Amino acid sequence: MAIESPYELLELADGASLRIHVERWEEGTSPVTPRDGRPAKVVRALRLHVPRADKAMFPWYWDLTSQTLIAQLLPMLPGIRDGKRLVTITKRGTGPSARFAVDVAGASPAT
Amino acid sequence: MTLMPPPGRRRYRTWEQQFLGEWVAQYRPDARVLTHVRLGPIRPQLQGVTLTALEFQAMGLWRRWADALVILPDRLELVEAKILQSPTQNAQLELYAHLFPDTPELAEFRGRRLDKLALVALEDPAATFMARSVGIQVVVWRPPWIDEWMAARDARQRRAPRFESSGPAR
Repeated sequence: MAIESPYELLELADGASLRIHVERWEEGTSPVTPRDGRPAKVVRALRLHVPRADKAMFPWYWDLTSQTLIAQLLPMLPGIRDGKRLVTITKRGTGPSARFAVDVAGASPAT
Repeated sequence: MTLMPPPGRRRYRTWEQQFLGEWVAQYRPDARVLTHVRLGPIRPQLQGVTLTALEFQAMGLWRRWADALVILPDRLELVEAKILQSPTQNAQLELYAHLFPDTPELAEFRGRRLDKLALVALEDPAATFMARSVGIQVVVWRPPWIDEWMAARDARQRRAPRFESSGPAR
C-alpha cells in the first residue's frame, strides 16, 4: 500500500548526515522519478516520523526509498521507536551506487 | 508508472543487510550499532604524489568498510555478515581489525577489546576451521526466511560447501 502524500524524500549529498529520533514508522510504496533520465517507478518506501525538534518544517517525517538503507534500518526500528535513541544516517557516494552508514545510539549511556 | 520490479524479472532484495539488521535487533537490541563502517586512515600515504581536492575525495571512497561495529560496555564487535559463509570473510575481518586503530572516526574506542565476528546463516566448516585458528568467532544464525533465500539461488549455489581440499588442477 502506498504511503500517503505529501512525500518528503530524503535526499542527502555525499558525506552529509541526518540526525533524527524515530517516534514511529510506516512501510509502503512511493513514486520516485530518478534525475538521471531513468523512467519513473514505484518503489518500496519507509516513512520515519520524527519529533518537531528534529526537522525544520512540515511534514514531520522523512521518506526513505534507498532499498539498502531500508534493509539496514527496518529490522532495528522496533527497538528505537520510542524516540529516545538518536539515529544518524550518512550517505556515502552518489547515484545508484550510493550507500548509507547508520549509527543507532545505545539504549544506555554506557555504550 | 510500474511497480518495481517489472513483471518477469527477479525481485531485487538486499538479503545480507536484512540478515545483519535482524540479527542485531534480536541479539544486540540495546547496543550502539554502526553499519557500513569505514575503516583506516582517511588519506592514503602516498610519498611524493600531489593530489587535487577531488582526487583526495575520490580516494576516501576507496576506504574499506565493515558491515557493522557493535559497541558494548566491555568490548567492541566487528561484524562481517554473509548468508553463505566464505573464507574471504576471515581475510576481511583480519584486515578490518588491522585498520581499526588507524580510523580517526573511531579514535574514542581505541584500547577497548575488539572481537571479530563472522555472522553466517549457512556454515562452511573449512572456513570456520580457518576462522577459529585466527581468533575469529563464527556466529551461525538462520533467519526465518532462509528457505526463501535458498529458493532464489541458482541450483549450483545450493550445494553444501565441501571441507576437503580440491587439490591441484589437472
